[in-house]
Amino acid sequence: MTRSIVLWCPRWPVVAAYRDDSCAEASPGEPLALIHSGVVVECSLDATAAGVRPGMKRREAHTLLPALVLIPQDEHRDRAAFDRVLIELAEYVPQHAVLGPGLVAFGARGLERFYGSEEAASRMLVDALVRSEPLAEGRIGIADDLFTAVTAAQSTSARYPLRRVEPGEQQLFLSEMPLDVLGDADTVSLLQRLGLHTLGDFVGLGLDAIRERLGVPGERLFHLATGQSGAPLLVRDAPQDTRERMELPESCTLVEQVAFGLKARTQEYETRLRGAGVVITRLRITVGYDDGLEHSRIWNHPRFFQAADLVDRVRWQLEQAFRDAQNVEREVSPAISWVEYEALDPEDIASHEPGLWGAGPDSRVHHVLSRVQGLVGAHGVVTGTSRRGRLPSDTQVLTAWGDYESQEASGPLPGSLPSPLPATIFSTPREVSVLGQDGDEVSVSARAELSSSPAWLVSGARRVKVTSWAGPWPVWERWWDPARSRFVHRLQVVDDQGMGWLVSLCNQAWSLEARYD
Amino acid sequence: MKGPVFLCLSVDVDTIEQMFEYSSMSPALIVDQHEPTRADVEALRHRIAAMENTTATPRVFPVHDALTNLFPQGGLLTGAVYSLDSSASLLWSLLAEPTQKGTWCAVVGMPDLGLAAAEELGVNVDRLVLVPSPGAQWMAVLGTLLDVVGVCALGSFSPPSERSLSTLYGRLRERQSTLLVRSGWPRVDATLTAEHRWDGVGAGRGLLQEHSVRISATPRSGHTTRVCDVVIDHTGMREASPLAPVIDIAHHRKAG
Repeated sequence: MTRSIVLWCPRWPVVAAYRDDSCAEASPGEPLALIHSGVVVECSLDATAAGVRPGMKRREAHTLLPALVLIPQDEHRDRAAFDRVLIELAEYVPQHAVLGPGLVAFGARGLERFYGSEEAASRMLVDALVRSEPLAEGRIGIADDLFTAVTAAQSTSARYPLRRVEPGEQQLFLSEMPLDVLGDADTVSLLQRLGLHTLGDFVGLGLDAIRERLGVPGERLFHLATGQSGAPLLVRDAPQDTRERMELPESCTLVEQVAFGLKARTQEYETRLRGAGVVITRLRITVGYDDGLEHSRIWNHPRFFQAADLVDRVRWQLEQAFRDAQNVEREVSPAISWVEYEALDPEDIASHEPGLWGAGPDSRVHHVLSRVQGLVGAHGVVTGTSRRGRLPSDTQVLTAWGDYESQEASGPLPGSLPSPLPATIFSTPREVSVLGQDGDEVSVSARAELSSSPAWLVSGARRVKVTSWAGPWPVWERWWDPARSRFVHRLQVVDDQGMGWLVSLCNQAWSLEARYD
Repeated sequence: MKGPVFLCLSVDVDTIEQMFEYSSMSPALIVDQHEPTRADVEALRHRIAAMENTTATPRVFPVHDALTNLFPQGGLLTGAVYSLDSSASLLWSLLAEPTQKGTWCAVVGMPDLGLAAAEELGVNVDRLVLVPSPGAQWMAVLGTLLDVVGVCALGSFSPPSERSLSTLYGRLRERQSTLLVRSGWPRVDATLTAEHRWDGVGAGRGLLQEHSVRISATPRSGHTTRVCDVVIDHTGMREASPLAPVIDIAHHRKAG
């Protein structure tokens, strides 16, 4: 048993959600609830004041407080936000044991010796927490064993944020606690039905009776309840700070200037992370302009980033941003004043070490394709996957080399293009006229009937004779969303050369979508 | 105990004796009894090839079984250049086997491609890299890609100068890669063209169901054109049965 100081941040997931940039609707000061499978799992203080409680249904919570912002729970987000706090805390306490997002334990002996007393150490921890995350609230529990310390921390209140259990008195402290703190819902429910309400009642049953009735799990609960759980405190180093902001010596407007200015420091950043035993496989690059705007993007790498790759990604991101900015009229184009790297999910270097005989042929392929990307740009080299779609352009997804493709739902799709599929799909559909025998353009009635039989396909000066056709099939996609909805008629056509074509009619205009060649 | 051992010995001696009697042993040489079948011709070719020990067997990228007849070596020769017409089905059917065998393949300068159809024809798209619009850099892109890519298909680019062409072809031979170009390139090893016919569609009814393709390969050195008929439908590609298309075409012509 190690005497431990536990720092607990109540409602940590709420703080993490407020701090997450991707949850734009959650801003500090607004009532917020995190939901999981339709049930509130955590809510902010002002939501609690309005009567919202964890375990409530989503609709019930909304009825109580119509202004309540509901966002899904995300443990990954909570952990990432807590890691940032731990990095700050590492300046005061080098080692810690994270028990969960918002709950961390420290060895008490070293802290007490350094700061003079346990109370002083606790005050320092809470101060450091609030300095690094002003929205958070710190509660402290100190006891001889971890379970008692956590229970003590969670039994504090906002007015008395410190609960210290004197050495050797953990059993006395725990005996007053309700059974819920054991965290084993089934057993707790059983014990409550037996008429037991506190840990003291439970311990009073005696170890033999508990072991006989509940077996080994019961024995474990008994040891927890008597404050004798011998679990050692597994402390580890603080997580590596994977963010680095690089201010450029002077604001730059040229991509090459920025790349040159970043080169040496990117190398340092990469070496620092590698020295800490991690490699970057996913990275967020944020570029800051002197007019206060920021532009951020996430990059993926099939293996892991090296310093030159990082600079390349900055370069590609800036080139893309400049291309986008060409459409916007501006008098003076903004200059870049800083660039920030943030490695997301850094991975252990050991799982990426090249083998004794090199990293295999795929690393060579990657190397060559990266060189081609240097020639034609990041999005010039793509890999593709197919999926089900109703129109030819929906049947494939192209992703830049090195990026992950987003996983699409698979399975049957009603109205999808029938097999065999067209071997040529025009990346931009070509304008075409479908003419009837009389030379008039063919139209489709509201009942999906052709006004006359198609006889000619005319595209510019080219004119091919239609020998047979099938269709039209109406396709109405996303009718519920006016911005993205699409209504087209599909028509399969075979010309006198035996070539098949897929033409579609959208807004009274025919276009060639694909060729069956 | 001695009887069987003696028998065995005599059989061995017979075998050794007959080893040197070529004329009576080869059934393939008895031609007057039945028409030589393809299998006989193949067997003879193998015997001839086995006797010609001086030439090393050329490395080829395998192709779909239905297409092996197009190529004298049975597949796409490494270091060779083939010219294709614009048919994408033909391109995919040639890339199907190499990608499935794990060879990386690249398609440069063809922005209009149907990958779903490629998968239906058996292409493993995980081994396929696309550079849809390399622009003026296409020679540099191609040269870089040839380091790792086995079969590379090129879109409609006019051939470079004779000098860079020789460099490119030399690099192909050195890297043991195959290049597929569009028509109009000089010094290609064979020209492949496709004729298409679609079945299943009538005047306003039906659905495109069966794609019959007649692929002809004309070698540069003036050998006879090799032709093979394949059928592509929702199950993929297969060899057309030898008689059916003839009847079909006659029927089709009458109807049209």
